[in-house]
Amino acid sequence: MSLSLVHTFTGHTDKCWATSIHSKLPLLATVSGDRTCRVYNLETKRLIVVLDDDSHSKTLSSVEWKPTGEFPSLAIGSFDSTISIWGNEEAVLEDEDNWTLMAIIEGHENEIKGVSWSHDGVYLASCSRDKSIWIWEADDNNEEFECVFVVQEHSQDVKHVTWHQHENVLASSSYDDTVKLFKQDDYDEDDWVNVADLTGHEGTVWSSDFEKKGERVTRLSSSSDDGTIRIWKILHAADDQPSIDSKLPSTIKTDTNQDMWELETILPIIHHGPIYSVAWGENGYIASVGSDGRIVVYKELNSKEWQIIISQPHSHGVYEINNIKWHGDRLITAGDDGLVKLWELAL
Amino acid sequence: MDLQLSQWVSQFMASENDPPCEEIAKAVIEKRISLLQLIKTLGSHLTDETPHIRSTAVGCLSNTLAKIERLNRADIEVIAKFYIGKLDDNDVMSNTLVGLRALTSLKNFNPALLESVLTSVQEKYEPASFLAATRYQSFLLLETIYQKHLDFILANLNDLFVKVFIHISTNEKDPRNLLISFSLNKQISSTLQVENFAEDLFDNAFCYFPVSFKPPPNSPYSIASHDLKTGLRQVFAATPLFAKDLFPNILEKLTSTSPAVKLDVLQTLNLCLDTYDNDTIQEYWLTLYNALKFEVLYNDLANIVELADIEKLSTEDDLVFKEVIALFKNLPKKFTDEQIIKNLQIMLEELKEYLHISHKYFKQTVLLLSVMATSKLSVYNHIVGEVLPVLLTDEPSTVVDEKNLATALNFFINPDYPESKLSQYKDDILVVLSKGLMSSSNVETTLKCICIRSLVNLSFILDTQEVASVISNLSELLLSTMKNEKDPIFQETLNAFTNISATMPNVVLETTLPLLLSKLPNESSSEIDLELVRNVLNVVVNISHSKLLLDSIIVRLLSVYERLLNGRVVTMDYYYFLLNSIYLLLSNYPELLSKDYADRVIPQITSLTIVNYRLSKESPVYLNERILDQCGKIIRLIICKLELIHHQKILDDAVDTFLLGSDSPLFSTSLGLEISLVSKPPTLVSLFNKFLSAVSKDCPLKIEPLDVLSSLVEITRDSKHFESLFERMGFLELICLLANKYISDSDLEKILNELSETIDLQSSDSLGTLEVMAWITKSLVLSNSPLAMKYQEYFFSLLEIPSVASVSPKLLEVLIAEVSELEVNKRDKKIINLNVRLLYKQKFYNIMLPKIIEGYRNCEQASKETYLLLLSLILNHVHQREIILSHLENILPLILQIIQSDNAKSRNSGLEILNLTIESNCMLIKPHLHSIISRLLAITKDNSDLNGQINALLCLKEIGISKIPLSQLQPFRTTIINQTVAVLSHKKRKVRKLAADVRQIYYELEQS
Amino acid sequence: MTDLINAAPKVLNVDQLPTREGKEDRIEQSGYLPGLLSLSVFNVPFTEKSSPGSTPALSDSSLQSDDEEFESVDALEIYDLISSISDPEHPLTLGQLAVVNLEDIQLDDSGNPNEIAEVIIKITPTITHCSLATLIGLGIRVRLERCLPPRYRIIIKVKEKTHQSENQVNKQLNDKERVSAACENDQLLKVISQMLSSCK
Repeated sequence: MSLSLVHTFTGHTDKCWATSIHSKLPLLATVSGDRTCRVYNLETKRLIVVLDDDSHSKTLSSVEWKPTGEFPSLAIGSFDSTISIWGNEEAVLEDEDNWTLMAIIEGHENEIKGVSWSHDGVYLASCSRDKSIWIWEADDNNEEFECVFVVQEHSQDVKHVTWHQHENVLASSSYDDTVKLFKQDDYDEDDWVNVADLTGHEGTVWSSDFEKKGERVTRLSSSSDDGTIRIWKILHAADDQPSIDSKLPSTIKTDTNQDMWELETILPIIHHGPIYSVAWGENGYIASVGSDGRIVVYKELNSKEWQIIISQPHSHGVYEINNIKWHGDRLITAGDDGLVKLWELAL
Repeated sequence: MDLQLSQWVSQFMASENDPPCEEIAKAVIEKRISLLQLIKTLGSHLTDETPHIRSTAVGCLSNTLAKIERLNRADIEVIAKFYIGKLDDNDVMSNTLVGLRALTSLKNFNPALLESVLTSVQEKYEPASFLAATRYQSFLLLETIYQKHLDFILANLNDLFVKVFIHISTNEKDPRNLLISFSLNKQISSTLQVENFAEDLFDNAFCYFPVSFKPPPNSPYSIASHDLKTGLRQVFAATPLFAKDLFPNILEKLTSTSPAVKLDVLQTLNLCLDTYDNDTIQEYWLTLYNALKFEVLYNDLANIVELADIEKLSTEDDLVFKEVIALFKNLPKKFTDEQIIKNLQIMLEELKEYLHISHKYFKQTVLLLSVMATSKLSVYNHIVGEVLPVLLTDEPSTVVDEKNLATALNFFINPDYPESKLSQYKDDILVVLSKGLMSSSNVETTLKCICIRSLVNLSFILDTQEVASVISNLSELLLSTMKNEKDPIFQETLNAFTNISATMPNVVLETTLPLLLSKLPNESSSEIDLELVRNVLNVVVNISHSKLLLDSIIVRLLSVYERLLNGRVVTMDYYYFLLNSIYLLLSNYPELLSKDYADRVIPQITSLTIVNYRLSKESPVYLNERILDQCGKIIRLIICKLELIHHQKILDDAVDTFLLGSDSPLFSTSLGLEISLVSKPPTLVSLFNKFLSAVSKDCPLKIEPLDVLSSLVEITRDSKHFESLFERMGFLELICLLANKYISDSDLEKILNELSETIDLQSSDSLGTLEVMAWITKSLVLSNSPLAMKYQEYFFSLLEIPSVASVSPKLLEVLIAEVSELEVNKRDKKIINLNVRLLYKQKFYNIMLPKIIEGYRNCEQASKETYLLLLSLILNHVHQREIILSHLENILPLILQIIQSDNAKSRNSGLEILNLTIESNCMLIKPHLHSIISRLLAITKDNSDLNGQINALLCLKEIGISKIPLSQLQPFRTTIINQTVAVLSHKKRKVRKLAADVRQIYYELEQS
Repeated sequence: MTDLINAAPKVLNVDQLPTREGKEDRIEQSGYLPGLLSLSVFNVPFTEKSSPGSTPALSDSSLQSDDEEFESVDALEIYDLISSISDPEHPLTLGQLAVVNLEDIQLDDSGNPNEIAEVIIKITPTITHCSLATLIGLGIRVRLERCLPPRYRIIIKVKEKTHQSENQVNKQLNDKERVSAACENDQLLKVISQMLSSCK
């Protein structure tokens, strides 16, 4: 099992912090400290457009394509505490002119660290060093964004947010060493409830990713400064009966709106230093990257046991790697060398 | 005359201008009028009701009076009464005082009148009601009276005068008045009887202490607070009578937190210590001691290892501390012998307890006592007698204790007292220090350093045997620490030897030198440890600070060199290090050189070199040019320092040996080698060149120089004559030397013409001749001869002749390149060894550069490269920036081409000029920023050319700090930062540091 | 900074601090000979024709030896880079204030330019509750990130038991993202460039 380099996207003149792959179209977006977002066509590998025109005064830290809408659009989070929304109404991908800045969203007090769209494109979540997570409701043509809820649960800088691919469940990772999960309140649509706290990491949690299996939330992976990746399993959600292995004695009175999670396992430890990004692929594999410049892919043997099937050091030379995303059986990594690399999993 | 007088009076009374006192005074002196007439003429004005008129009238009288030296007694008396009367009139007070002052300073003024003057001033003059300027006149009056009539005052008016002074000076605020008030107070207190006024006089001054005065911005007179402080201080020191009031009051001010106030207090005390008599001091010394001892005991003495370190202290708090130390040094000077014993007993009563090594006030107490001990011998002996026994019985348990004990002992080692009680404790001190020196724990470097310094300080009372053992210990220490040059103990020991080898060279000669030289591997050593050789020789070079040592070291190094040669040792660097050490010794201590070096060392090196370089084939240095060259450098250095009268002999010997192949003190032909450079060309020419270039040009050659030159030219024209390039260069150098020193321009012209006519430029063997012509022309360029221009032109024209075009840049480079044998002897201005005009370089470039630029522009593409090569070659030899500054603008286009070249050597000379251009006139490169920066960044990545990388980084740095506007540099900022990341991991530390500095400049570009 | 947080820090004077600045070899190699020979028209590198026998003795290796030798990065080099940073509060350097000391710098570096290396620096704040520790740490990190190649992972910690909130400070100092955010904050950048202005 090894990785082969398919293509290297160049052009950024500073660290590349994050990437995003459009769920339907062959579009790749990358954001960097050089304050630009570069959009590529994943098939032709050619640069489509550089979203720049000084819309942001500081580093672009996060990006994510909106999963829905007739035309492709994306959200960019920046250290200048604002979010910019870009779209291409003509849907003519190659032509770079018609990518337009559709909205600038202000609200956070300082650096934004993460942005993520809900599976149905209705909600956009953003997190920042100001310890808050804002949940915005977007109209279809991305003109107005209305903040429906501000989550103030974390006690420190929130590093990353991501939605479940089917349920409206949001996972947030933070400098306070915890992962928190949030759900829409059944009765009040605009109220988001902290349904679970996953504690155990002994350092900043840099990112998390849901298992891509089934309709309902099943498991979540989280990577941390403490050099470990933890797999969390949901026992039963607050609003339905306990899930199959209800060994729990009924006497334990469960708080009505709390989901029950437990630490399932810790992936085999191989990274040295902080692990900045973890991705759970549809193929069931988990991939991680970090300060040690190593790409690691884990395969599940049984529910408690994972095996490292790939461990490739110096994937971006001596540079740290900030982000990894699955794209089918392919991986996309972004590093401090400003490069974005597309890898093929050679089984 | 009256008419004239009244005219004057009416004139100045009506107008604003000053009265013509000059003319009036002249008239009075010439007796044309009398002062009384003046008073009469002023008449009514003197009593006019308007104050201004009265004041001007009195002013006229006073100022006139001031210009007169003598008056008859009667007039004086009348005028005195007049002025005394006027004292009632406040409006004219100022001029009245001026008048009284003028009156009292008259030669025949009758002092008897003083009493009435003084009493009326006391009664009628009320200072508070007058401005500062008027009050100033009152002080001037008293000062004049004091200066003119001191004896009379002492005899008759002592008390009155003091009272008047106190009257006029109380509550004075004006700085100028205070200055004169302080000086009067000082004079009065130190000369008059002030017993019953002591307290008043003291309070009169002490109310101003401590002075905190900031001169107002537009103050008319430049009085600084320092002047007031010193003036006031002198009042307190004027008489011991002030002691009883001064000490308690001033010591109380010591508690102030401001260092400036404390400093003022201490400086005042120190001044009083000098002037007060012994009894007063004896009465107050204890109060002083108790008030100040904590200034020392509570000080952590952070940076003080020796008493000498106190002088180096500089912060504001340190100045206070230094003043306290000065006080403790001066105080005991005032003690009589029995007072010393009594007072020290009292002090030691308390301090004894602190004298234990581990006590937290140990160092402070020892410092305090040792400072007092420096006051005078009797105090020193008593303290040493009391303190040392206590110190020496206290057994140090830890390394820190040992260090503290050694420091304490060192405080008491005082070379100012050759014979003192210290010698009684010499042996014990020696034991403690030697133990510390040899202590195994290398960790405690400060202990060893202190012991080293103390032992050196102690040497003045050690006998020869003891000194020898100290020096041998230090020598051992040198050997054990020399491998790490940064080791503080090594540096401390080496430092100690600079003192020892100057004062006790013979001991160093007998103990240290043999020990060091024994470490040098000899001919029988299996393999040579070059690092050891380098360390030993480095020490040897650094400890020879006396003639005796220098002479014997050079002799011994030469003998080591000779033994190695005979022993067939093959490590070339070893020979080179030995010769280089000899060279360094001779160049570091030129003043110690003497004639016997010429008589002894030169012949020894010459014959040694000839035998081993040329004669004995199995010698390790046979045909080794680097060794030959280094030996030559030593010879040249010696000759350059030789007096003029010996030069002729040395030259003749060299000519005998090298040209005539005959015997000379330098080399005896009996050894089987007859050298004749002119016929059989051995490679020893470079040795002969060292002789010829060093001697004065006024010494004629024994043989006809033109003959020698012609034969040398014939030999050198044909390059096949030579076994090596080095040999050929030696002959070319010799040709240039001869031409410059001994041949006339016309003879040289003949030779050059003859050569240029017979030369066939198309054939390749013309190269040899061209090169000979170039070196002859070089001698002309050096002496700035008009002929040089002609042949410079000739070589320049060769650029256009294809067969020799590629060679002519080299030939032109020869004309200007610096060669060490052709340099002026800078060691001794009186001896002129070569005809070298100062501005020859400037002239060469001023002619050559425009021609190159013009030639480059007009030549076709093919030969552009040749012009660029020529420019880069000659630019290598600029060395003084002034020469090139004016040309920078014109040669820039060519420079931009040169830095594109792949030939590292020419590229680097281009980069150096580019750097100079950016630094001196950065606007020139503004239009080319893009191409320059990208080329520089490319060169920083070429790891095969270390100098290129450094030069490129230096240029980038120069651009970053230049005055090129930020807007122009901004676009390049990120590219430069990103592209210099690679050079951060360069294998050489200095390149990495340079890269870091460059990047820091560009990171900060945004901020500036 | 009206009231100095630490009014009387203990000061080492500059020449007591270890440094490699300005130390050159002692007995230098002779550079003279190659210079003269290069002037010759017959010098081999210049003309294609072989010169009449270039002397072997000249090419002995000791002349260029020190150009090839690889000088690896050591703790002293790191110390030289950061000891001249000035304290944000006193007109003194971190070296003089013994905030950074040679023995508190640990280097884990194979020397291979393609491998990741680690620099661990322990700082000793002048007083235990010094709020400037994070600022000093940031200054050191920015200086090293600018001066060392990217393969060096820089870890800055407060020396054990020398600071009340030791862990929080360590965490903040080594959060890569917050550090790069700080480098885009204007006030902080001004302070940092002030601290680095004294670097020589």
